[in-house]
Amino acid sequence: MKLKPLDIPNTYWLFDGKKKILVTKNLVPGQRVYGEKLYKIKGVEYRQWIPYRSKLAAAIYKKISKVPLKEGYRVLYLGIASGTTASHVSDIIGEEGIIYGVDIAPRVIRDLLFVCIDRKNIVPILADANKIEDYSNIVPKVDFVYQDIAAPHQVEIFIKNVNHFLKEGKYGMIAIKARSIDVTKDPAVVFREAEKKLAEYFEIVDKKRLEPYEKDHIMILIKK
Amino acid sequence: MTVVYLSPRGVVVCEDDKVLEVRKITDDPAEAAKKWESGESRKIAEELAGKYNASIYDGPAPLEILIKSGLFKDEEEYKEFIQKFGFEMTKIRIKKSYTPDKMIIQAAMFIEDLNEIINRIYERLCEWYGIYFPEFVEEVDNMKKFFEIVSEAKDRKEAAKLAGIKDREIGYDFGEEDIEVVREIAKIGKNLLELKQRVTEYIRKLMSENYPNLTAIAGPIIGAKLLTLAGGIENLATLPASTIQVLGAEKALFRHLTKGTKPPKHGVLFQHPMVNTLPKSLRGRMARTLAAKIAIAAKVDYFSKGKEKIYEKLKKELDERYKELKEEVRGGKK
Repeated sequence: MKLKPLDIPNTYWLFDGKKKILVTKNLVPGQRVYGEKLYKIKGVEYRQWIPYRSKLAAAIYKKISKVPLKEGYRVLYLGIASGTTASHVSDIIGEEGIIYGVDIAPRVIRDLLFVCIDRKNIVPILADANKIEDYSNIVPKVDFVYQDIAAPHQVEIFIKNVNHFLKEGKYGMIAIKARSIDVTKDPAVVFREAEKKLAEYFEIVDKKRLEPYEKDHIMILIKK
Repeated sequence: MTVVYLSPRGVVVCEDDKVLEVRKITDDPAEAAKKWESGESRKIAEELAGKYNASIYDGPAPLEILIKSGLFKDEEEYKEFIQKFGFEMTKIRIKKSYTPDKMIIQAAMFIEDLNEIINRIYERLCEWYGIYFPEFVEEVDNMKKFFEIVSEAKDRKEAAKLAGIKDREIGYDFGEEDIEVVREIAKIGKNLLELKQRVTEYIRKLMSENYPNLTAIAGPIIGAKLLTLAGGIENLATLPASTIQVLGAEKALFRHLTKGTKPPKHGVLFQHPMVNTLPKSLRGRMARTLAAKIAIAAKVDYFSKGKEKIYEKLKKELDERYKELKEEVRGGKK
């Protein structure tokens, strides 16, 4: 098995015979977060990052131009849910980094708490991402904002949070689900309208549709 | 400019670069979370803001100030504290988010599960027992009776006696062990039917205790199904009546929205006696009225936390509407 590093810290392509698998170096060796495969190479453990389970992984497979994460980064993760994707972001930014994870649903945040017991760089916050006041005294200015929220006003939520929390010149990423915004409209139309709204405030750096990993989803990378 | 910085660990009052006062709240993350969620921490900040005639900073206290004030030794300590604080605060919020509808929904979904399970067992047992005593399977079509007798009777003769039917000896003779296994399974079926009764009673009790208006108008079982489909009382109280009318008919609804076929007239509301006892042409109108009353009932239940009871008035209006429509039937509708 061979490892080829990506432009993202602690992230690699693992070559197992003919198979090419995306992995991150496990911050908590021995811990599995969602049933992903673990690989041990030269005494170091890596976790499989599955594009069908994580939209950020899907964006990497679809060759998004940049994943602006560095070790030690402060990240605001809106829609962290059970921590499937967040656990990989946690691997990437390492012990020095910190993820402030916001989700509105008690049921999935409850699952995240178990991940947080061993991963000390994730701060779980049960709150509505649309109500910034509920967590603005806890979350500082961050280096990266990532959002994966299925709600009709998801774009507005993203704009609000990026304006308030993201440092100037830094990047944000939003996974947009067309069906959540309007189930009757053509996804391409929904995405075009979303892009227009985002372009009013930020620079659009890249956008990628996530098929075949997710249907009717697009990942948009912006710069403040 | 004097500014008050609020952090879960403590409050710091600053004038430009100088630290004027530090009020430590606590070192313990769990205690910090408690005081934060109760609003106590914010009150301390407001008190100090009043004292120094300053404003509270609308953001997290900057790390440099927190360290200068002595509340934290370094960034490492801060990160460790904040992570534990977030954990404890989220624990408190999770507990706060508990509402009785969560249990009602689990119980209602379990009833659906039970129905599937009981039916599978019944069908299997019919086939299995039919090898031994097909006359019995042919004659006894009541599930409860079936389970009761099969679990009770030690052989075909006794089963025939208990069921009051004739044993024509068409079936194959089972051995003792064969009968034992089948009896065990029938016993489970009987127990599951009792369990279904028990859980249904549980739902009725929770519904009438917590959501009296919804229970009075829709009934405890349909009410519970509506709660399940809506995803909770808050959601149900927020839904427009037109959505409540078609809850449960999602397949037909989305087919109508995306393909333009005829819209559904009712979802689970079809199960309501006032709807399904009317002829097809009038059901839609009854479902609409019923949904409107349910919407009001749900709102009162949610916002008054089950304390206000207005179902008398709603029931009266509902009964009137039903009478009105029933009259149309008599008045020679085609």
